[in-house]
Amino acid sequence: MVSPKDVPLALTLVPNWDLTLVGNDKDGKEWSEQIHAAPLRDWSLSQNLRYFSGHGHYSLDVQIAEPYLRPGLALELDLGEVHDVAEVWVNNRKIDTLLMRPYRVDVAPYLKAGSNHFEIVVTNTLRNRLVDDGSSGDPHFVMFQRRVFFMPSGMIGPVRLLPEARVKLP
Amino acid sequence: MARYESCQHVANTNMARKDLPKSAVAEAPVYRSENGSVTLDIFLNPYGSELIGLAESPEGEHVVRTSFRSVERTADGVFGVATEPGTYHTEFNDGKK
Repeated sequence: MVSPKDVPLALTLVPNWDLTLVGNDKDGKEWSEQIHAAPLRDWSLSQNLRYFSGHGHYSLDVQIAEPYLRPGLALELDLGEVHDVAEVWVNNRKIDTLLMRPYRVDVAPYLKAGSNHFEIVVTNTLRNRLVDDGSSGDPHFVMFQRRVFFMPSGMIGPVRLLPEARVKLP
Repeated sequence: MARYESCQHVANTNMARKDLPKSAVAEAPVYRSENGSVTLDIFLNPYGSELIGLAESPEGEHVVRTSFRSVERTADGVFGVATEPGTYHTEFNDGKK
């Protein structure tokens, strides 16, 4: 068991992740775009991505030191703000699918000392895509011409690793 | 992190917290009961929520004050959750520290 005095400090992961966006164009063909070291930012605030609905694959390699891997210490991966569903993969192993706040999962059992590969697959709703369809004149989505607002999308963070030690009380 | 305080006027009450993402109900082992009034501290993350259930039952051993972020009761006992290095304090309803 880890003493409360020995709990390591929380780690904030860098805000720049490699991001691959995967969706479908108007003809149903798969479309993708890769962005290297993308800042964590709401897709709907980007001129290029505001109409995007689909999956965003975020990936990052993180160095984990031995003190974070002590037996009895949980390490909660906290994704912060996410829109809307997040699938968490660590070292190519699927850990969990997170649907609502808090977007948190204990990743300690899946980590090793040294470099660890994190991949978060975030899927937003279809709304922003339908706004695009409506504003480009598609008669099926004319209702979105009257209500043009975008839903926040993607992983906004901050992404942190939060150590947790459980201490037995007398 | 915001701190909210809820006060319910009920006697001989056990508190239960519902973890919505996991759909699990867990006993809330930290509360204060005085003169028929029960006070429960609730710590919410931004946009966080908790569903508090109240059920009448004999009052058991519980924590009344703690500096741990949270306290959990399991089959193995009562545990404080430490999230940063330091010294933590806990006080039970029988005065034990």
